[in-house]
Amino acid sequence: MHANVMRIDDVMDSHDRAPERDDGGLDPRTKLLLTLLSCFVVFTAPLSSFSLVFMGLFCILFIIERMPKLVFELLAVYVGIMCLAQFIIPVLPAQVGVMLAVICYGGVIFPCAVAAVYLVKTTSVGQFVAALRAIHIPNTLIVALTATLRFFPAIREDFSHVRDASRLRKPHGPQRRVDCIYVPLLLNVSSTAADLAASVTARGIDNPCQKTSWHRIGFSAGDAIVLAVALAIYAACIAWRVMT
Amino acid sequence: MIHFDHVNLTYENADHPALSDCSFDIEKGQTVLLAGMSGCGKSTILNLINGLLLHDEQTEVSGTIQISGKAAQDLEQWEVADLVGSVFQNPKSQFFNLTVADEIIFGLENRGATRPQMERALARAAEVCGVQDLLGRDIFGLSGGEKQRIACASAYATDPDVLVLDEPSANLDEQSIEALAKVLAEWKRQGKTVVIAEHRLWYAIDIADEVFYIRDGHVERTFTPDQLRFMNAADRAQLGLRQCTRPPDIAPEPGPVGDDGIVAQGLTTSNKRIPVWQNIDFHIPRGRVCAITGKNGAGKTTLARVLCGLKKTNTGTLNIDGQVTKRKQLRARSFMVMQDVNAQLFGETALDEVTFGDESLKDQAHDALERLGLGGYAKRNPSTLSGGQRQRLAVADALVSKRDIIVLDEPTSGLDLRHMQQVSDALHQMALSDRCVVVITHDMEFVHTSNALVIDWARPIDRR
Amino acid sequence: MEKSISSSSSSKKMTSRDAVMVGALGALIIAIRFVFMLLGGLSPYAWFSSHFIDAILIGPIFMLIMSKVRKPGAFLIIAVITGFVFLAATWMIVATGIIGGLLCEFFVKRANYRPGFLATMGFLCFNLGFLGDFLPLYITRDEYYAASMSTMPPAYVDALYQLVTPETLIAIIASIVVGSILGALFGSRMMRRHFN
Repeated sequence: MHANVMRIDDVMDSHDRAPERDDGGLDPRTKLLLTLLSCFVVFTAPLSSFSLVFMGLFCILFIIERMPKLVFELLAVYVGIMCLAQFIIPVLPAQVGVMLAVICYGGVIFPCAVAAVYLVKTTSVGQFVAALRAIHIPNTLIVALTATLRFFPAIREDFSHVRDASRLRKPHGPQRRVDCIYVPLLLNVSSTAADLAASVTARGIDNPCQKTSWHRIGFSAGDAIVLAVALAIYAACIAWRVMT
Repeated sequence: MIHFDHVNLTYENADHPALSDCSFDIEKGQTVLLAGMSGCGKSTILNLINGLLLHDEQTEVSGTIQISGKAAQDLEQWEVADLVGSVFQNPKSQFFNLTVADEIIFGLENRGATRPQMERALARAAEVCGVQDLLGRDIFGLSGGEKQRIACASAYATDPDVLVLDEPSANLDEQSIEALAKVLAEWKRQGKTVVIAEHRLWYAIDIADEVFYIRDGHVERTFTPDQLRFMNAADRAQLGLRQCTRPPDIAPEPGPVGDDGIVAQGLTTSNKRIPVWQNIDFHIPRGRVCAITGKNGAGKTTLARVLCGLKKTNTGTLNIDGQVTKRKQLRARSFMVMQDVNAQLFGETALDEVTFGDESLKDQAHDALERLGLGGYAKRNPSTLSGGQRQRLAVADALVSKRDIIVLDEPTSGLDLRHMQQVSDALHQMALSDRCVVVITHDMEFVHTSNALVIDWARPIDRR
Repeated sequence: MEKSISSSSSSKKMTSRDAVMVGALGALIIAIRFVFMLLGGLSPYAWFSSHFIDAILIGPIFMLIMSKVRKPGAFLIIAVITGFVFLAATWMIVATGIIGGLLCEFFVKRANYRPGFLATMGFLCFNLGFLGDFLPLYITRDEYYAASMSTMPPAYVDALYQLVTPETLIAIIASIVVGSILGALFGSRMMRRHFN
């Protein structure tokens, strides 16, 4: 018998993994605006046909980006929530029904969630940073945001290590139990952050010149069309509110 | 190229200077190896060259430092970063971006380079540092050795005159170290000035032009590489240096026949449905220090977790002293010193950490701390200790814990000769008290020093 | 003994070195909020009390940030990033986050970045800044319930109406106050024992 020793590929679900798209696709700034608009539409006319149309817009965008599976998953969740609201809650006793109210609320803000998912799934971190630099967000904020995004998967990994250690040590008493998780986690994160700070400083992050980006972003006809459609929906939404 | 003249440096709240009257000259195009015991000042020198310590108001620096003809203290830190590229010890905590290409041209973005400049630099850096096939990948999925080469590419991409590396091999296996050595040789060929601090001298000594021996914060002696290579072991040990020739590989042997200790048969485990290893058998006897070696990425850490009962196996059995043992019992009987010791330290003081609140263990704890060179640090908070000290603290933890099975994952990465020997002695003491001691390591010198039995975990046990 | 480079710079303004520490520890704060927001999906009561638990758990992280980055801007940055990450919930989080962050900076600066009464006030403002995730519930309440009045049984709508009232909002704010005080105590204790 011969053992098969295979290489581990750490499958980290990176929150922002996206294909490198510098050609085609909307400018990240447009996507930001769309997310903002979706929140406004939901805020102005919740649970109306305007919200649905807005969601439809995103479904089309997803399909253009060749992500039909995602559209299917999102629609499935939405339909599930709507079914819950229409058919299940009415037959439950009122108090129990209220427990599920948050899920119904999720249905109300669903278009915003779809917009956010679109932003995250079709933009890489590098492209996003390029967009932020283009709108002159202060560099300190960009560095902090990049650090936050970079640390999410690292925290998940660190937490599993800390939990492993805790399962072996079996601390007694509430004080020790809390310390056992908290202290190593804080120590780990701040230790890595200190190392990282040294690494970026040594690569000239404090250079006061205008930073450039490897990723190319820019507005195109596609951006104009999509924005026009979105604004039209929002305008119609406001008009409807004003008239009723 | 690099000129230090009577440099003194004292860290905030330190009782003695880290550098005292340190002077040296490094010519353009030279590759210099800084060798010395832990705490001698090697890292401090590197952090002065790359400017990280120059504008720290919490440290006092005096003396003259010149880089490329310019007075370093007059430059801003980012101006020094233009002249000097840096590679640090820990592959995990150096990268800032999530993809390889973003990381390599990071330095260029910071200086406002144009896109054509970035493209040229990326292509050149990828070729010189041997990472062309990694472009387009996520950094989180790479091995430690690959991450370090990306760090090299990132430092090299801005075309600095000087490159400093602070123990870059500490977390790497032999194969990755050889790849790293190739990168350094290429840099040398291109005329870069390279300063590298190391404990694992054997790979660096082939590329170095000169070796500076640092002690007590200044350059005590200089050696040529040959002088160090042909020095006898006793003299070298006096200097506190690890070996200068590549430690030979040791072939794994099937464990002695028997039922004592841990016997594994037919183990298979997987990570998210991807098999990690299949059908392995091994025997880890009591009373000896056992080592598990192999390339990084082969599943050694997963094996460590299985031994401690932290990971499920899909098939196979794990017996201790002839009895089938379940995961829960394994967890109760084992102790693991993890690769990342930060995840397991939470005591208020070093002493508290080791005794784990049990007052009766106080004497044993003091003894253990002494053995690992931490005697004077008993009252200190672990977060104030250095990385190597924290590693040794975790080993002291293992020594004092009453657990039966001790698993250590890379306990000697980054330790100098003396501290490595202390860890080795501590492991021997554990083995003598009839425990199962398993060390996962790629530090071959440590395997030789501790005379460990290298376990063959890929072939079936020969049952006669 | 090896010493490392200090993780914060000594100038008065925040530098990139500080920003990395702020971003890293901020990620921890956001992760905690995120986990409990998801748990809050189980029921409105869970959602309403999630802020209380958040406040207690975030205490040590807040104190650690304050001790490592002794200059203005850290908490404002984290509030803005939090608002951005939770943008899917509502844009109001960004607005309340900025207000909460600015107030927090004011108090924390007066406290000279040391734990105590003023720092606790700053922590309270920081936590209140996250209130934005409830606000749409209150502001869109009438439309939402008008829309669902037709399809939902009246008992359900009434029960819901009774949940989303000014009284409950005051109760939530009170719980955040208590949680912040507890969290600040928890945090400063941990700093004293482990990070000095």
